[in-house]
Amino acid sequence: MNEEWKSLILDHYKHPRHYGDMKDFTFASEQHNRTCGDHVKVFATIDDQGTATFSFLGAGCSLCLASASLMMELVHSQNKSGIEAVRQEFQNMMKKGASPDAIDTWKALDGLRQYPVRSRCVKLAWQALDEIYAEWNTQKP
Amino acid sequence: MKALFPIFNSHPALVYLDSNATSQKPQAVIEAIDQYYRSENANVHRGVYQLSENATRIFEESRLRIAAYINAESVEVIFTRGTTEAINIVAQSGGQAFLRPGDEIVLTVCEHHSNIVPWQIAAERHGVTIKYIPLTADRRLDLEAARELITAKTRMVSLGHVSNVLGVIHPVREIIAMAKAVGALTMLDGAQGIPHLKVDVKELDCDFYAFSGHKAFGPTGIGVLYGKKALLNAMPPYQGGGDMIEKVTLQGSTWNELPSKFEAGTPHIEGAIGLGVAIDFLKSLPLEKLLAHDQHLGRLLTQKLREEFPRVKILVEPGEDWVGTVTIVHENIHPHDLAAVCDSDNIAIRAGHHCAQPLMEVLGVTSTARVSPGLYNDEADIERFLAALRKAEKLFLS
Repeated sequence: MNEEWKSLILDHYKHPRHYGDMKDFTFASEQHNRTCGDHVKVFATIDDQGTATFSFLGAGCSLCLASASLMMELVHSQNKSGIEAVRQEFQNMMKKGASPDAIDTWKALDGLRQYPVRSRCVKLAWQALDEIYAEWNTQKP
Repeated sequence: MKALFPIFNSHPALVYLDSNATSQKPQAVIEAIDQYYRSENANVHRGVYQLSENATRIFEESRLRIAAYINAESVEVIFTRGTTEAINIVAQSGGQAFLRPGDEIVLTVCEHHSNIVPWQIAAERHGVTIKYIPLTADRRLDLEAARELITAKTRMVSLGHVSNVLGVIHPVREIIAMAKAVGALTMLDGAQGIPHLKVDVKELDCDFYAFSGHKAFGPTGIGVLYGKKALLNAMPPYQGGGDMIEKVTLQGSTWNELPSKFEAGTPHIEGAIGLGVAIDFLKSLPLEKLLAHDQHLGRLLTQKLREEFPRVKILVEPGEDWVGTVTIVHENIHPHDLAAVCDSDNIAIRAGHHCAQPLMEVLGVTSTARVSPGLYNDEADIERFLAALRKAEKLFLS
């Protein structure tokens, strides 16, 4: 992996963004990786304007926690359509890689694709986001 | 020794410390498989032409050599896909023949999933209870507890010859004696036994012994179930198909003799031939000296870890009853991250739960990093691993 992205991953692992418990959340989802015991819990609170505040808790390897922290930066303070766009971009990135003009966060996440055996680590927080998004969608407007 | 393994020509910088997962393959095994496909390929037990008869002869000679090596009769050597299938045959076919409601199966807490799950399936099917022999504080099987768990109700005792996570050689003779005393059947999962120990099934006096080719210098996809003839004869077939039948009519079928009864379909011919050559290779090795070699490397690593890395927790104490496996947990570095840093320096170690989740629970960890040395490793490889560990600490602790 490019040294620049490697240091960004390590930075997010050592100093995860939006890390912490959340009281009175609207949605929460906890995901486990049975092969290594890693787990991530993502919280979201939706305000009256439909904007989401996120935080997460978890224990795991650098890929798992850095991916969760990078995701936080992308989804925090977004509304539903913004989150859907981030989810779509993650799916596209996992399939095809980040585009050359993408922001650093996507390039760092792209760097994680070179560890296919550990894709479950990278996806853990994103699976929590999928669950939160699906639950949000089932709610009446 | 390294010169016998072509993988190190392809990857000269490779430090392979994951032999418990699979061993590297010696030139002789690779050549035998190559030779089979280049000049000996034909189906076995069918053709009346020379090429097929020759393939059958090489295939069956392989069985004879394996049988001689483990001191069994050739009809008692069933070719399987590996240890897992061998255990499944005993749990399913043997379960049908020998297990009755109210019986008990005794396993240990440190079994590989392949020596737990087949028994759980059988237990549910036959109304049988499973009990597990626990570990003592020094991570050895608790023989006193075993004595209480193995009772007149016990119908089957199955355990690993050597633990894949801890590398501990289990006191199988004592446990088999306890089982015999109450009339229970015994099975050994020899996946980690056969690469390190000279196995003599008569001397062990177990009823069944299972092993895989690939952990003992042979190919993947082939393994052996040894079973005492009378027991194998009493068991129904495991799978139906070609080769395992004596006569088939539209109304029903009768079964072939051993070992064919348990070998439905065209077998893994080149695998069996490769395994025969791997067994010849094992036979040519001074196994006791190699065990001492692996123990030496494991001890050296344990000692260096204790001296230099206070944040590393070592999960098993070296001993004479041990094959040199060093399983560790780092206070601050996830096993996956440690393995990834090792990989960036061309060092292969295993990280994860090692298909032994119940043992992980007993040890109070979710996953570990495991260093399992083999005959192609030396002290320099241990130094390389320690250097990678230093690098990982620098990366993750700074």
